[in-house]
Amino acid sequence: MELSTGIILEILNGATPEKPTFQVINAKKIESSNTVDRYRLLLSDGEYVYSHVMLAAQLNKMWENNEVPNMSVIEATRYLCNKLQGDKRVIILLDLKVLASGSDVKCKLGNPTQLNPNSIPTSTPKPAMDSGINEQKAAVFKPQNNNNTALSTGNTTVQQTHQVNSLEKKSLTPGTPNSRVHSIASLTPYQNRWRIRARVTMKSNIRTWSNSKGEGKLFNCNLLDDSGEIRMTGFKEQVDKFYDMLELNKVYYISRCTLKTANKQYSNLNNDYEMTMNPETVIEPCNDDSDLPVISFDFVKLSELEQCKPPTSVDVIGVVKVCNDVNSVVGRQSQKEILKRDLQIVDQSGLAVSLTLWGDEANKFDGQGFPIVAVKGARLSDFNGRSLSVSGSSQLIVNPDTKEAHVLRGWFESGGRDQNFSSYQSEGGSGGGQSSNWKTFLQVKSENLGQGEKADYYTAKGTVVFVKKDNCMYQACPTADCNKKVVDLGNGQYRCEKCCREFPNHKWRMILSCNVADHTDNQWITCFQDSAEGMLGMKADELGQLRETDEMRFDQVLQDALFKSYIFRMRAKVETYNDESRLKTVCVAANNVDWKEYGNQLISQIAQLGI
Amino acid sequence: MTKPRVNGSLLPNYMGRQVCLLGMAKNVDSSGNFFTLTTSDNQDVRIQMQQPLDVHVAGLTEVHGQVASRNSVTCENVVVFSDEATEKFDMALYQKALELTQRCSNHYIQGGIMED
Repeated sequence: MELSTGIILEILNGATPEKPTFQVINAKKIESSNTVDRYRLLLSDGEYVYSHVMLAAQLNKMWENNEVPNMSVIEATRYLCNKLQGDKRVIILLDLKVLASGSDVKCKLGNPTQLNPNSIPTSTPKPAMDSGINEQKAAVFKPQNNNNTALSTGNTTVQQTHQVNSLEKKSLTPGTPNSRVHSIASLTPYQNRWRIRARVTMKSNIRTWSNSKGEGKLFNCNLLDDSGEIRMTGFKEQVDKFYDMLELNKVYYISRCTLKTANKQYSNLNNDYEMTMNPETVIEPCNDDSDLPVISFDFVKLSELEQCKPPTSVDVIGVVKVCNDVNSVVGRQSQKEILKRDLQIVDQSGLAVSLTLWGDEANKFDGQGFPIVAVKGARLSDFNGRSLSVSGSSQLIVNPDTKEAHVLRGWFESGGRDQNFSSYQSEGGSGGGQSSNWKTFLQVKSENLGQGEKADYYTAKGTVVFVKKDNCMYQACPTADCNKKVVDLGNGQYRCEKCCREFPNHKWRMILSCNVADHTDNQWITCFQDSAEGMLGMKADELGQLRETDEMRFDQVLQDALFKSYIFRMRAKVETYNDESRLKTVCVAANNVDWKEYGNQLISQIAQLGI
Repeated sequence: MTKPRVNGSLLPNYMGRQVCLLGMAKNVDSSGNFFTLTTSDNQDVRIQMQQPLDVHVAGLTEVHGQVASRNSVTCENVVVFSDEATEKFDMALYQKALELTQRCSNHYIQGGIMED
């Protein structure tokens, strides 16, 4: 059995001889918690033994099935040599054939010496080397086509020659023959000469960021071939270069992206790696896409969303029954204004679910004529029972040309549009619309509401039994958004410490303490402006005037507020002042009792008692 | 003596007793001697006046009186509600409440004689 003596040194120095034969001295499994396990091999060519040899992950099974015992002689049908940081060189075996099993060879061939990976001697060209590869070798002796090298040299002349030569190089670079296409599953960060042919199954909007380090934009898309899928992200210049070119559902040849371990926080794809476009990235459209898989949906019926545990991602399809106008919200973290549009989608299961679009997608969406929307990877939350959102990793397709969409359209046009749809409800009681979580004041105490980390919200029907007159209102800064208490300077001026200004006037703010009771217990609550004004039936400014001019009538207003019943929306939270903890209950809203609604609420509560 | 709230189909259980009947009035006799009350369970009950009516009876109406037969009540007092109340009244909800007071009568404790 002949080994390709001396070939390891050739390869490490950049040559790419065809089908070299090696002996596998040893193989070690490198276990990894966040990516796939890899095999590292000790390879001999009879002259040297080299330890920086990795096996492409798709070949792992050969070792797992013990097809290549130690001492086997193999032919490397496909391989690469990559330069890593610090001039380390790694040989990666992409494909191999076993010429003789280790169980037959049994011993180490020749007397190879260990090659120190940190000091690899330059090869002495051997006259005996295979002809036909010299041309290729010449090309490879140029700086590696890997952009890291180009960037890290920091040498502009090198980069320039690079660009000038790029066309020529493309045809010469042996690792990227035009004919060869790699599978997505075979891509790893250890190889950089690859080319894939893949379908774009998701393309995000362009997102921008702006922080202390600067600003920029990015987009990402998902690529699919018959071996698997991978996420690709482009930043700044690559956005300009490729965003418009990449079209959903089209097929492209892609090469020279930077691969890295996938951040599962942002991606739900089944791939341990993801890639980022770089200035060297080449993307070319491919017209023949017949053999590539298409976007596959796993549609969940709207009625089955109840069985899905939020937060999760689902594929849904539905008819847009209601298309609300675009409005904007302010992001909690970014403090930036975000556009959103709420849709209501329905399907044959008779349910209507809200679907929220964001940003540009919200702005551009046209809800005319009950379009059908399919969403791949819509975000499901339990807000209002169940609701959906088109997030950054979702793909929205309007009026898709699929069987499901045609069936849905048929159903909608033949009567579905006139059907009554039910919707998901928030948990904890019906009837009250959004005001759920009904409690009696006894329950509030026995269930320790407000004792947790977060404030508890509940709804209760109560009757006002006492209103505290003292300190029920204060003089506040007249500035629209400032409600800070002002200091009366005694000269007709009022000073706001927050605004650092003096004003000739002030406004009145309510901070009304009331005791409210139901049939089980009572509760001290604090009512601010709106709810207090509602309960007293008078505006705070008017009441403030009264307090200063006609105390009798002021007392009467407070008196008249007693023994009226309201549906209270409360926020309960324990607050600690000076080591003393007490439950603070703020009245978020006090609404007049809608007796019909409350009656139905009582009936459903009685029904739950089972009597 | 209590006057339990009933509907049309409960009348046979209250023969000769004082009841309170709420419903929609119709077919008022031109001389005001009787009218028909459609109760919450959609039964028509004849309301017999002891003196001719001196108020205009229409819409939501409550009758206090004695059960004379399975479908008639001798009126002792009549309360006529406003058009607005008629408009807003949820008869189905009232019917459910009635059913509950009947089914859980030990939880629905009524006071003494109803005052006019």
